[in-house]
Amino acid sequence: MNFTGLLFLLVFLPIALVVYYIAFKRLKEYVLLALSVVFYTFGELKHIWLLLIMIVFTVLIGRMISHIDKQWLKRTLLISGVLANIGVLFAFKSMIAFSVSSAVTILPLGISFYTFKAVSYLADVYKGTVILKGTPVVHDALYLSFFAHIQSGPLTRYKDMVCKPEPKRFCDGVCRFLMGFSKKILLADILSHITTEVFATPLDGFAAGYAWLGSICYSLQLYYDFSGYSDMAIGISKMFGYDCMENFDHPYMTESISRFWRRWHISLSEWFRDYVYIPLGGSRVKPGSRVYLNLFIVWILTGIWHGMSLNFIAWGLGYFVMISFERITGLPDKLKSRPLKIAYRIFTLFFINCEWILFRASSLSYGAGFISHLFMRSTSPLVGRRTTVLMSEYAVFIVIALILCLPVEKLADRLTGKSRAAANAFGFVQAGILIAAFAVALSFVVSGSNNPFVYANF
Amino acid sequence: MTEKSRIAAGVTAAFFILLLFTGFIKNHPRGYMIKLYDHLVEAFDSDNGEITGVSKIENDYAKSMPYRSALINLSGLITRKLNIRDYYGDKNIYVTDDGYIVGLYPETDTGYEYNETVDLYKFLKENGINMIYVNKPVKYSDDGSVSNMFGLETYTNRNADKLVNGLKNAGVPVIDLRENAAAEGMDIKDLFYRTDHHWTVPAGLWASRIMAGGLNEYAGYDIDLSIYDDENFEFRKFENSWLGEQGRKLAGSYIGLDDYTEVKPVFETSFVFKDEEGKTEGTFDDLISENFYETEEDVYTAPSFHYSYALKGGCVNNDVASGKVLMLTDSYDHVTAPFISLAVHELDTLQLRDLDSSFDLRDYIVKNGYDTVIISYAQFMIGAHDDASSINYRMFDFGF
Repeated sequence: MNFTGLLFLLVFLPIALVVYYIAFKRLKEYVLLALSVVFYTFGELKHIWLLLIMIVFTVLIGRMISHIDKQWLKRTLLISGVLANIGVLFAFKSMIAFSVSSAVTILPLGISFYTFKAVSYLADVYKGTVILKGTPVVHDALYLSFFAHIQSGPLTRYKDMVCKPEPKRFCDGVCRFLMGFSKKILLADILSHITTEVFATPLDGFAAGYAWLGSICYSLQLYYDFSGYSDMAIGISKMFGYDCMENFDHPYMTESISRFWRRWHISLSEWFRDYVYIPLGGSRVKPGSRVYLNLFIVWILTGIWHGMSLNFIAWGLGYFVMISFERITGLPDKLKSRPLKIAYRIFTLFFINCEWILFRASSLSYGAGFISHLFMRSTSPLVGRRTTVLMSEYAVFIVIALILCLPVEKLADRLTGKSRAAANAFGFVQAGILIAAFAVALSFVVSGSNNPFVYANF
Repeated sequence: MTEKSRIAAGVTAAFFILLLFTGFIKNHPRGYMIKLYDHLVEAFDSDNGEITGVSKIENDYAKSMPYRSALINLSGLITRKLNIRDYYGDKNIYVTDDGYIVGLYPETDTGYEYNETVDLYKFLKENGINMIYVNKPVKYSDDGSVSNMFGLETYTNRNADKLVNGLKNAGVPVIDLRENAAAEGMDIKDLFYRTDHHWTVPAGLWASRIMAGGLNEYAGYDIDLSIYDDENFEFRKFENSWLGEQGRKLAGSYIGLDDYTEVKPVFETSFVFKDEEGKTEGTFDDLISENFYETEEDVYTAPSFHYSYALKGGCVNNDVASGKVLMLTDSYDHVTAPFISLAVHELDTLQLRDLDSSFDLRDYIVKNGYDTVIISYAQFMIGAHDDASSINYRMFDFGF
């Protein structure tokens, strides 16, 4: 069961909303927890026991940490809790990477996400930034298993999970869900037609134009797939009264590679910052060069979190090298002229594009070969013809995807200014577009052309 | 939504809730909840705990969605307006400039198919049994023009040329229907539906006449080919009446509907059909399930008209004295086998993809005393053995 499936949309969600809103206030979190278990069961029955055991174990450790005064015991409990959670994740990732068992070919649904939430929960309780006294245990269990976040995040923090159901939040949630649904089905899934084909093509059938088209479309597809998912997750959270942290902020508008990660998968970047980078000493370490060791550890771990294969490690290393480079040189802030700043932005996007190639490639050698073909001339006229066909057929979707990378909504807000009438008119235009896009997206789902979420594999 | 447009957000939310609950109430929620529960119980009881049924329930749910046809047509309309001709390329569905759905096929060396066919031919010859290989075309005879249209390679005609020439050189009697179509000045795509990979019923009649001629030429039969003249048949045309298997994926609003023509002999016929229930007496008309196309169902739920013709197993034609033929068939032969049965005493059909590897074809042929074996394959069967997951993987498994 996933957010773009009809069973979720037209069976699970209506039942969940009705049951949740008619339940007594003190029972609402129990209802949501039960719904989350049902959601997970239909998504991954095979691993429901693992999820339940990990939740019980983590909550038990968390509660013990919060009730014990002895520091050494608290630390021991924290370390055991973190190691157990990370150990299970690492074991599954290893089994898949090294094909240990034919029974384990894909990760248990959401394990990378609920493991990281478990670590943040334990660490926050240990640090005292989260006070468990007075909060029911069900709240902890719900934090770890909430169906809106279980599949691919965002990696929200325990302290931010506060239920405040109100009509305004619900309406915002619906709009956000519709936007995410349309982004996923109408942009990500349609662009995947191009990327699936290009990334399945042997390198000897490549040409520069074809490679550029495939890689740019993949950069766009991944953005709309994951940000679409995040929009839906945020929207569903709001429908049930919970605010949820933002996960994307127009990442391709970034000025530099370092700042890209403050705009892309923000909850993951912040998780690594708070639970790995800062505990290692962050940037306030002596000697100053140790900061690069910290960055190296963070980026290697980020790569491994996505997958234990060479291309993900190279992907993480690539970011380590360029973020270190920007830190050493002070770029792009040192650039004063506008053309140079623009040139650096273009270079940043090019670098990110190459990184996504490594991310998507079936192997490191394929990824490297793909990147080298960005600069090779075509030897086959048929590949050139194919590039033209794909570009002309999917031009509308590519152009819309490119335009929506810009902060269109903020721009429109600025244009409507302080005029209430203009803002209302824009709101209705936006609502009309959302509803129309949702209807079209639904038609594509019914005709059977939707794909699973890319980030559900991590 | 911006802070300033609360009313619009409220309207959107109201629309969404209305849609959600209308969809929920209208699409048999209790039935689907029971189905989901049953699958859950089944999965709990199974060894591996996999819920294999949920995706099937999801598909069933989509099929019974209210306004399903309208929604499919909406998606089709958009892909048509944007002229996306390979939206379902992953399902090997491509739309040509003149509105035909075609498939593209990879290159194969044909060695496997050649060895299997030639060895079977030699075996049959040693046992005094005739064999004819019939190559049935796809919708295009020039791979290059289609490749150029989509920028993708297709090798189906070149694969067929390779196999057909090899078989001819090895002395195997071959009927290559592409040659017949060319000799008669036909445009090969006219033999086919636009929205389905199968050929039409009149095309089946046309091919049957040529195959019957092959029986005369290569197997010593003396069939009066005039039985296949048009005046001996009644043609009933249903214009814009159905959507083929690939067309349903693309949507009627994209590709348009296909015509369907029913063809029945005007002369009297008398058969004994060997079907699953035993032997039953009947006429040619009993080979056609007219309820397939005389239906009130919409084009997305109606059965495929092509399969309204079906000679299941085999038959004995009481009006013909001699000839016992085995046809190794694919689904194109739903509309050839019935017409060939008009010319021989006994006709049996086998589809090798339906049989497992324990089936001994050679033993079966000898034991049943056939005088002729016709291998009648669409040319995209060539190379299917390169992909172990293909449903046609075993089509050339002749026991070599």
